[in-house]
Amino acid sequence: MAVTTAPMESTEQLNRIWETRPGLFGVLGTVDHKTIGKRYLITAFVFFLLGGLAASVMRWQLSRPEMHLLSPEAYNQLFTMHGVTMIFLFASPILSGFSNYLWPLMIGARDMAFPRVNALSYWTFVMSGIFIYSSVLIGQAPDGGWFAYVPMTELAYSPGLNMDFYALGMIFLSISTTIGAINFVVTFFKLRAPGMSLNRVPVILWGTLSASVMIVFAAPALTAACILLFFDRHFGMHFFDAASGGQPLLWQHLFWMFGHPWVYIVVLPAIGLASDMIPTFARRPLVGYTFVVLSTITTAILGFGVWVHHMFATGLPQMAMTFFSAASMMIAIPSGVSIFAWIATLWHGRPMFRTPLLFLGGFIILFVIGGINGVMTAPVPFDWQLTDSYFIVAHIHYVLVGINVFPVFGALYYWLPKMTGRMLSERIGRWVFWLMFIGANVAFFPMHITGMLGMPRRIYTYQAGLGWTDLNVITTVGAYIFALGVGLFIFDFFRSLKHGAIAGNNPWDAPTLEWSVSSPPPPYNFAVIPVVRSRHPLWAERLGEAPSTTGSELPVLEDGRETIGTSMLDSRPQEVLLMPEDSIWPFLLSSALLVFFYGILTSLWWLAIIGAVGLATTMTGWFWPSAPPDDHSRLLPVES
Amino acid sequence: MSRSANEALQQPTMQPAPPTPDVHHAFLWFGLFGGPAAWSLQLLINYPLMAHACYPGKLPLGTPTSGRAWAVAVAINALMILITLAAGATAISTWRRSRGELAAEPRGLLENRPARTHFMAYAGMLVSGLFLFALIMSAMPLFIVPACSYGA
Repeated sequence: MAVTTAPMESTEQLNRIWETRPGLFGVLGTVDHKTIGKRYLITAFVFFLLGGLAASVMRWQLSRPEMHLLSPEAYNQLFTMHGVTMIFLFASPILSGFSNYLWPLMIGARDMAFPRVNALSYWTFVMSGIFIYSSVLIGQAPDGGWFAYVPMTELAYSPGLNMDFYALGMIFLSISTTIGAINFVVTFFKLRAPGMSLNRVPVILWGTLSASVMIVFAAPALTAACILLFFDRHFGMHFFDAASGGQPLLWQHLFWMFGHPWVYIVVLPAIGLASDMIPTFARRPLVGYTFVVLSTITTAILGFGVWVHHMFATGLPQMAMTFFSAASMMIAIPSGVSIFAWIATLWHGRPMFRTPLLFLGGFIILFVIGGINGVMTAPVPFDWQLTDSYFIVAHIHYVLVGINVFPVFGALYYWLPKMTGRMLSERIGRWVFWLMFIGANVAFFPMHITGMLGMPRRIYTYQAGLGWTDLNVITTVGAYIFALGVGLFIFDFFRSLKHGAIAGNNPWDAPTLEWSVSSPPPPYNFAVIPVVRSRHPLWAERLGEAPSTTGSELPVLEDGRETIGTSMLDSRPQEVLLMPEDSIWPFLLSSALLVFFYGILTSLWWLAIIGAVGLATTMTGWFWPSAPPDDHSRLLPVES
Repeated sequence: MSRSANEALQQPTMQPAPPTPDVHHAFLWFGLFGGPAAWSLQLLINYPLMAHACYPGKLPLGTPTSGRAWAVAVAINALMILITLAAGATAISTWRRSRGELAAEPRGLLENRPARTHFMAYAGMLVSGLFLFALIMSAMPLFIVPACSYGA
């Protein structure tokens, strides 16, 4: 790819325009997608450590029969917080971090479509995390499991604030994920570099786009469920109260209409990460690009038709359940297609077994195991035998650790050099991988057997003589080996910041656009917006494809925060878009939301009113018209 | 500068050549998403239909409230299979017409033929095949499983 550099005075001007101001305003008001992406990654990783800490304590409790390290109440809170943290506060936000950081760099844009909404999404995520975790400080953390089944979570059986933190926290977090998803969808369709037609888009964009569309449709179901639960608990309503004509199954329907798509929401972007990393290490383009993209999209669609497979044991008519059983078996097909495409890519390439590829290899193995033990429970009769047993715990961990955590760690080893400018250690990375891979299998594989031996999930202890003890000891040892691997990664990260080798622009000789700029990238990403004519812009010449360029004939765009808007299918340049400056309003709006939700939680209505007034004030300030730009032509569409 | 930037983008050399053939977007999108839409409709209609026929109130029934529920479910499934077949046929037709896109050599800086029509048509063929299979899978239990049986 021919890189066209802008004149020195242009880059200085661009730096002045795009750099975040120093000081508190800069910290709280930045809308730079790279900063927001890194903050997402760090915050989600902190939650990962907190969720891991909860798991470590639980594994110690279960390592021997009749242990009393934890009371039953404390154990309930721990397993609920472990699930809520890992699923809602880690698995999805960490992928948002990668997407936020990488998307504009991969599509040749200077920022996301709505930078301030991006900042709002991050701050709302942080505030909702603070809200949920503040429950731990008063000893009333959610304790009804991550899917919070009624009637157990109704006021009569769960009288504390525990499940109020859950219900309001989920609504709070849904605001963040929904607006973040809308931002990704618009960015995908409007900000791709000129020439990056739909068939040239990196797979991670398809993965995050599919997940974002799913969020827009799935999140309202959870929000509705949580609002109804809160109404039941605080306003004497009976949506889920069977004795008063309510329907407990309504909760399960609403939750899983959201919950199963959520599994794919945390999987599809990770599949995208893997699909974009594997070609780099196979030294050849991805085999079956169209198939992999389609498997992502069709998984997203089929993912909305499988929710009842979580409810096979609830007594629904069998005919009705068979529709979902069929869809649950069907969904294995697109997943399998992706796996075959990755294997074929490696098979036909010249694989370089560097640390990221090791993690991707681990990911494929765990994905296959998690897929097989998942599709085993798609037939209704088999599900009846194993539901609510440790077999299901094994399945969810193989799926989420395998399909989310492993590609995420591979992606950290792959893209952290772009973010920090320093390489992580290859030698330590191999240790990290093997510790995590061995730890995960030693921890989770025996759970299949303990499940089949009858150990139910979510019990705080068990009696000796049931045949579960040795398997639980093995699982606990595996969990600590896994934790050791995570700890070693943290050491390697901090070590690399000072002592890591300098990364340079493209340390992996990778094909996508983000590797054409410096590491770390400049605040404006690209001095000249690139022009794309290949699916692999940086490999185009060696593949004999038309070379992409940074487009010396395109203007530098240095009269403000400007980027190019393009058409939906073919990325035809349409207009020069004026992007917003840094702003404190997203932070203030999220803070007002926090106050509002605390007011609702505690039934201190004056506090809720203060929060609502804060919301109205900050939104007014945000939307208050600013002075029109000096040159109105910036906003004129090109094709008018 | 911004005015000149806009003007620069309007130059013919800055605009990619239009895709060939010029297929109406409605056909492209129908070929791609006709099958998934039909499958989704089938699920959204047949699931509540059969569930309500067997479990209309607080107690499960041994036989459906209406003998027509099963027939309606079968008819819905058949209709959706036909729609999916139509979507697949549309995608195949577009795919055949757009094969020339791949052979076109890009010229000039931005003048390139992105072959996205061919890409979307190819994708439509694969998607229609998958969802045709999904609809057949959903239809099979209608002929095998008793309408109102309960196991749990």
